[in-house]
Amino acid sequence: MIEVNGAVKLFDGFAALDGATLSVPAGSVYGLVGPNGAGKSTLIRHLTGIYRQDGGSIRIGGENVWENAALKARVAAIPDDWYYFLQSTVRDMMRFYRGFYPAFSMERYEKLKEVFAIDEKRTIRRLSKGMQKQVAFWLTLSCMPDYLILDEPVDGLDPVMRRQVWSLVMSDVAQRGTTVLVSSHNLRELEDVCDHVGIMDHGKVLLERSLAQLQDNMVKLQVVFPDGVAEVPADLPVLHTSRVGRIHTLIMRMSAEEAEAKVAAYSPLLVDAVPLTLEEIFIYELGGADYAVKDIVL
Amino acid sequence: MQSKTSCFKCLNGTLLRKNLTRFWPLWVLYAAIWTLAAPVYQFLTLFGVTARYVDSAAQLADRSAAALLETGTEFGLWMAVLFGCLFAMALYSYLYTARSVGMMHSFPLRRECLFLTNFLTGCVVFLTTLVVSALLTAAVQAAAGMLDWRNLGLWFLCAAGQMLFFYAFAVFCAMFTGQMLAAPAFYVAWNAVAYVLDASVQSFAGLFLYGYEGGGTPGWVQWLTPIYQLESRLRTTSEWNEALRCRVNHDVEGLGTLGIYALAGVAFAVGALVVYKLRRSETAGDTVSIRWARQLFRFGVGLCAAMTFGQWLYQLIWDQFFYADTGLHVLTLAILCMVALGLVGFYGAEMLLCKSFRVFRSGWKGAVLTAAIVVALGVGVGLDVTGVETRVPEIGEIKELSVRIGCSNSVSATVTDRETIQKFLDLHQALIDGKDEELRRKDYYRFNDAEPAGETHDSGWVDLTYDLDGNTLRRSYSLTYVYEELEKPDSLVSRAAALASDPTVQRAGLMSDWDDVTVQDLEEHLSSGQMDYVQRIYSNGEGWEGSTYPFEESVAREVLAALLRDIDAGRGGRTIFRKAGWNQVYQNDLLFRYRGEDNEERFSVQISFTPEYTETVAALKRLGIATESRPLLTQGEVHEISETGGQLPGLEATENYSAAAEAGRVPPDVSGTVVYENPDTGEQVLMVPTEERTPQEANT
Repeated sequence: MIEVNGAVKLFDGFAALDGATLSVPAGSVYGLVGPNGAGKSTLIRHLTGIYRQDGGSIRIGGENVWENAALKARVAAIPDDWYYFLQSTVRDMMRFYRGFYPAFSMERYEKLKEVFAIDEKRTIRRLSKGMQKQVAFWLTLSCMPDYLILDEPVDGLDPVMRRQVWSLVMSDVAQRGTTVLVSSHNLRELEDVCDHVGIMDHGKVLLERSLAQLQDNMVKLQVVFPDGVAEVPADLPVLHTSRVGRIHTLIMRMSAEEAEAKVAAYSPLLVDAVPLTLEEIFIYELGGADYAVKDIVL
Repeated sequence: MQSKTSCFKCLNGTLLRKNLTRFWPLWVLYAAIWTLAAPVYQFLTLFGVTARYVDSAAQLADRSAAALLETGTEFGLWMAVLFGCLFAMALYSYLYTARSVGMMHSFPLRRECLFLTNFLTGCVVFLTTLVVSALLTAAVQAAAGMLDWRNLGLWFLCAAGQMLFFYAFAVFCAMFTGQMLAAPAFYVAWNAVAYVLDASVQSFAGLFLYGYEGGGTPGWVQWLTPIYQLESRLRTTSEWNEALRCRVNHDVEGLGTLGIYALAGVAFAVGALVVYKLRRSETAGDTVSIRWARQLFRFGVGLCAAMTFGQWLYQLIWDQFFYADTGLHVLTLAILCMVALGLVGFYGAEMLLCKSFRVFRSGWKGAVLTAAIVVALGVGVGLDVTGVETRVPEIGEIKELSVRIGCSNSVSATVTDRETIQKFLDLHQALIDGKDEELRRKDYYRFNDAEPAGETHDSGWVDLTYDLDGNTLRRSYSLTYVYEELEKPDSLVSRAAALASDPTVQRAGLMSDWDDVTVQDLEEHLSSGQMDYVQRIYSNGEGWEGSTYPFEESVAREVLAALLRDIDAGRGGRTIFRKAGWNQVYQNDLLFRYRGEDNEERFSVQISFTPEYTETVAALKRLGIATESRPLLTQGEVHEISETGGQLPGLEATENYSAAAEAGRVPPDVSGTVVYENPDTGEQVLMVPTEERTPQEANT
């Protein structure tokens, strides 16, 4: 289990983390989403022991992360800008990783060689960005981590390889109970792999739920009101409205049943509840936090 | 769970191996240079062409030992200074980018383990290199039959000790920055900052404090400037063996100093570890990575810029217009220059810290504080708040006093006699009391073309250097006087002149070129002497040519005894402050040689004297040293003869030059012929030394 409790991190007085709190259940895949500058990468750097928090606690498996070598041996991470030594080949880096991670599996390394199909004698810097990312997955998954922390992990990967690495990650989760925390802006993909989601903004975790809870907690209604009702009634608690012809689309933070009951009071001609995508949830949740798509005509 | 490759908790074998393979070009370069400097150089010394020109095995051993030990001390110092920094930069280079520091710090290693593994990599490399070099050198020496384990050990100690210190110091500096290029800059700056600041403060004080001449480099500044200290203290020594005609017993002095720096290196390594643990990974890319050090950097750079470049600006511009002026307006100008450059330094540092040029508004408080510090320092030093200007040491705290009094000529001496020192202390106090008058006179005569120096007045100096048992107090006073004051016993110049003629000072001045050798030593070990004399004088001010007349020990003793009687009678140093005093000094210097403890004639003392040394002059004439052909000529006489012609003692005019030339009697070496023109008749006269005249010429 990964627990972040009231984490604070200041950079020259600016709070990159401002009391962030989240909880990642063991064996789950947790998607951390948020706008640029929300503090996701900063939080991840705390979880991997790179940064030390100014306040609060960062714990994995009940232990503090900071300077905990034994714990960090069970945590592997792929940062958004993975580092390798300039002269190193894949095999050189493998030896380097193997020297640090006691659970590093050569057997898995050899198996993954077939998956990624990259010549391990090639210098990494001569590989394309996507191939370098594959190498990062190759080495990280070979470490057999109990906790896998990924920051924009599939950036630069082609669609096939994206599916491939997600498949590998999910099989680790299924077979070994690996706990995964992944930060990404690709909400469509997160929706497919995450069972829990946390939304960050301004250094705080605004909300965290299981994906099902999140989707149950917000609904999109398509409504056609009777003649004479041109606008959405003001007393309806909507997060966002839009209109195409006579069809109003309402986003409401409640269950579909509750929303339909409230709209029913206005005798609509048509009511249809549509589940929200993670992307829509992200947009409308943050819309309440002053972060919305603005209708600007340039 | 423990990392499986850890030998023990604080070391990681994987990282060590990676360091060794990753930076191999640097290690190879270091090893290659030491291989050239130690075993290869030894091989060339022992088997090369120069080895054929030695007379004995002892001489070869001398060369071998000297080469080895100097390599360990002097060359080893610069190797340590350079490679200590390069090693630190390479091994801790991961701290300087966010990506690399992110990777290294996310690995399951504690910071101590990372730090120590990296630090020990450097130690392993330089120790291995030095051990291998020592063994190769031993092999070379053994092949030549000159294996000397003791000197090899000394070489290893010197090279390794210096490397340990400078490497650890460079690592310590590297911990304070997140930029690769800032690391060597900090390293160089911290190596020199104490010396530069001390020199700057002394220089500033010297500009505005009357008589202040600095005090040398204080001991604590030397210790804080390791390159200076090791360069001056860690030295090779040897003894000369006359029988073998080579140096023997080669040794290294200053090993205690080296030991202290090696211990300091360990302390710096521990300090670096502490700083490393405090350091935050997110500071990669920052000029200064430790929060409290950022303030130090801001104000430190500002202050250093003010003290160094500020003074430089002042001296560059204002010194042209206010030369030798020490008034308040000049101090104000100097402080303004320092404040200006101090602000440049402060804002420059601020820009580096903030990585932005827009720092003027946000940094104004710091700028004001910097300016206030510089003004306070400038005013404090310039107005002598601490009383440096008026300080005259107590006689009890003076170990010895070195004086230099001069004008047209000078006397330098080191005295320990309490009574004489007290006289100088009184003179020192009088010089301080006469500050206003001296400044007024300097100002009056500075641009007074109507009264050029040497006509009615002159300007001499009195330099005083007190050895206060470890510390040094230096003062230098100018002494502007009119010649009439020499007749007044209480005038400053008369008091200075009296001390210049003081027998104790004059006797000490005889031996001023030699440490730890007294007049008594000279008298006891005197072996011979000689007198310089003028042999030819070229006309039209083109100078003169001289020769020497040697005399043996018994004669030298008589001359020296006469000279000492003159000195004891107070006849020495009288011409120093006189009008054209240099003209009254004989061109004929006396030189006395004496034997060292090994009975070898190695040392000599050269002495100038004047016609007032009556006993000496009489002795020289009586003993046939000064003759007509070896005349005693003052510098004024030589000058006059050269410039205007006239009487030339010891040289005779032979004939009209034109006639001699026509008759082919001008000596082949025309340049050595004295020709001058009679100012009354315009006739050119050929003159040759009496001794060199042929019988025919003598008859002519």
